[in-house]
Amino acid sequence: MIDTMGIILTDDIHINSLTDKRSISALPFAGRYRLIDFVLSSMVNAGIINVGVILKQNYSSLMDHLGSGKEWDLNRKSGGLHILPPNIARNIHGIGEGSVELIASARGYLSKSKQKYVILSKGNIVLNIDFDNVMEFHIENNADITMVYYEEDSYKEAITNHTFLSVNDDNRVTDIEVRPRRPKTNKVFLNVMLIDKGYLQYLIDEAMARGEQDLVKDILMKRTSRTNICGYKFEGHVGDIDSIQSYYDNNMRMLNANIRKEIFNSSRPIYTKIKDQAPTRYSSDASVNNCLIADGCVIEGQVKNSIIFRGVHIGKKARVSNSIVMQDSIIQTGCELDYMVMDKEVTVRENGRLIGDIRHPIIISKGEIV
Amino acid sequence: MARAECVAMILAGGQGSRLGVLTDELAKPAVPFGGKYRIIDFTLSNCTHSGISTVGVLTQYQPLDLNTYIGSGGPWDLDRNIGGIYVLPPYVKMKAGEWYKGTANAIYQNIPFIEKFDPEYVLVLSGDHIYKMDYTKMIKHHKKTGAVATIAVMPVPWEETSRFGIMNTDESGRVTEFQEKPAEPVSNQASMGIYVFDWKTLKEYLIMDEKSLSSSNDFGKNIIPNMMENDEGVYAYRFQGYWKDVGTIYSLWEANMDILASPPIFNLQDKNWKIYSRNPIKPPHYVSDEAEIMNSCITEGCNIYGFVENSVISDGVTIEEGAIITNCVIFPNVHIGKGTVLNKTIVGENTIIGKGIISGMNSSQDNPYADKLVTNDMVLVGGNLTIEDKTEIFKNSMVRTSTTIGGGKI
Repeated sequence: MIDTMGIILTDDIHINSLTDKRSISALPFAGRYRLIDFVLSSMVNAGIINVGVILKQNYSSLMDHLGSGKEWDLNRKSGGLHILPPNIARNIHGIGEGSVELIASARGYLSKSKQKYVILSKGNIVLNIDFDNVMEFHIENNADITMVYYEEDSYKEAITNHTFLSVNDDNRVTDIEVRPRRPKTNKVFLNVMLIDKGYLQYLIDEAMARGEQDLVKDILMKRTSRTNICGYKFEGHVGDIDSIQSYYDNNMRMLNANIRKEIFNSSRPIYTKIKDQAPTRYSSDASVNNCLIADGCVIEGQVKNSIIFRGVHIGKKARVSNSIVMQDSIIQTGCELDYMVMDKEVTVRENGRLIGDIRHPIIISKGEIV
Repeated sequence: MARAECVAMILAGGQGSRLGVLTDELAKPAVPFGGKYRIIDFTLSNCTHSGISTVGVLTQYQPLDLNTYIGSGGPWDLDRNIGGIYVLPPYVKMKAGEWYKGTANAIYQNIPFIEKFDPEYVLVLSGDHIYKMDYTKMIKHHKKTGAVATIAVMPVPWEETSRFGIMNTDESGRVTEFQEKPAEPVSNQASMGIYVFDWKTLKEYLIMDEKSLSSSNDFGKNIIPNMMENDEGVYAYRFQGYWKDVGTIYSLWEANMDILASPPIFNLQDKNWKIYSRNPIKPPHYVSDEAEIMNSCITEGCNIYGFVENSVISDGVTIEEGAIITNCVIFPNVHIGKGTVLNKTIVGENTIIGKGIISGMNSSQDNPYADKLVTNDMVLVGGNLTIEDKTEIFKNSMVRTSTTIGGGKI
């Protein structure tokens, strides 16, 4: 897909203190990743060599993570990774609200790029998608725009921020509903779409001229009848992260061997920033059950049903269960954690006891000493 | 080309024949170590941390994997505009062209390479040692003593002195006597095979040595003794810390075990001296509900469902339910089947170990896989093999081929 470029819009959803200082796309996930790694790696694995990341705010963490793009093989002479800092400040969700102006601000980059197609995506979805299939579908259906969706079988009424598509038998998108109270379908738009670059530029220019803000509501929704917008059904695992609950649940889903196998498919690997951590060391008192554990940890205590990030120290006689412990946190001797989300570099002093609930995991902010 | 004060030359061409099947198709510096490293990572990381950014790697034996592993040197920050890493195999010249005849000859053949950087000093290193060392301290020592050659030394147990080059020094640290593998040692200060030379002087000695037909073109046997004969300043630099020459199967196993003790005898988790390597692109490791892990090292891409104790498990290894792995070193991407029991066993890369296998538990007088390279009740299983279900491998075995093996089916 050398003739396709990627644009990732980094969202601005807030998840308590986890996104105080970082964009949701930079949220640590599954022991060693950031959310943006999944869509970015999918693009790279499809042979895309030109990716622009449009930043919104609190982006120093994301910039630090992406660096020169080397880990994704995106430090290129031609194309490569382009970090596009914002020049507006407005709340956006997905590739909807405010997205017109954001994409317009990357107009120069878009026109300089040589590719014919654009894959536009948000940065906070956990998935491993083969974009070659999306492209094949796009061409087969002679689509102007292909919107990628997944089917949510048992969605709750209170799903927020989701956009639902009505798709007919010819794969044509006939209706779009943004955050409906009672959605007509179970087809949730993934906020991933494929479009001809020139057409995208045209649509954005038109919308800007009319003062329209929202790519989905102002552009796509109004064009379902006169433009060939098609819906591509993605059947793989999707982790759509927009709340503390979905963040927690999706992390825990990585303990499932089948989901892990699909997401970390060895022929389409997920790349991330490398930290050169040594292997994790287990002491003779360690006891670990049903956990995902990254490199560079020292485990001396008991850990159950948890996700342990790089460089974490679990002290002697400590008991950690149902928790997410991020990079370089220290859980000292005799501590007890249950249903906790520990941000980076947290220290829990000896015999500390922190208990959350499965429906309400408690977050401890970055760098805190408890 | 821009000048480099010091050029490091890493000798990485040796066969390492005492490692048996592990080095059949692999140069010794490329042998996996410590879960996610290759042996050469230690020397390369030492160079990076010591600020030495012009590095030549002299390869000869089975260089393919080593060359691809080193690549452009990015993982060690050695992809530089000025300097960087260079793989230097022997090559054909105008009139002749020949293999590297010895350690000194390997450097001799690369005089034009070193001259390009016009260095003051040349650091000669081995690509097959496990240690962390700040070379800047050694170079500083070299400058201070005004030496022509400085040799890093460390004390070894007296009973092992006959395996090493032994140095006797005077009070100033100047080497007064040098014995190569002595029967009657005068000291227990052993050469670590790490040298700093004044380049101009070394070049003269290399050219001189090359002209001598009787020379074996070796630093320990020829260059250093010649320098001492001519009363050049040869000094010893005392190194303190962990250092291991992983020349044998047993010492490779021992060095792996040294990272396990708590606190470790050799600490890989030192944040100020990280060991860089080409990282596998794999998710964190998974430990199941049934798994038990004690006193072990586990890294990315592993799936552990069995029992693991006192073992080093490399990336991408799966250990199925009911398997019992004790005192083992498992190389990358090995699969170990249900109910298999492995003790003191090293398993090579990508090997598939079936179910119900017993290895390293029992002895047999009639062991078809007995090999004198494998000692101390160990077992070595080569890479890319398939070991059938329910076979037994006895102590002191080396398995080189797939099929049913050992004393047959249990």
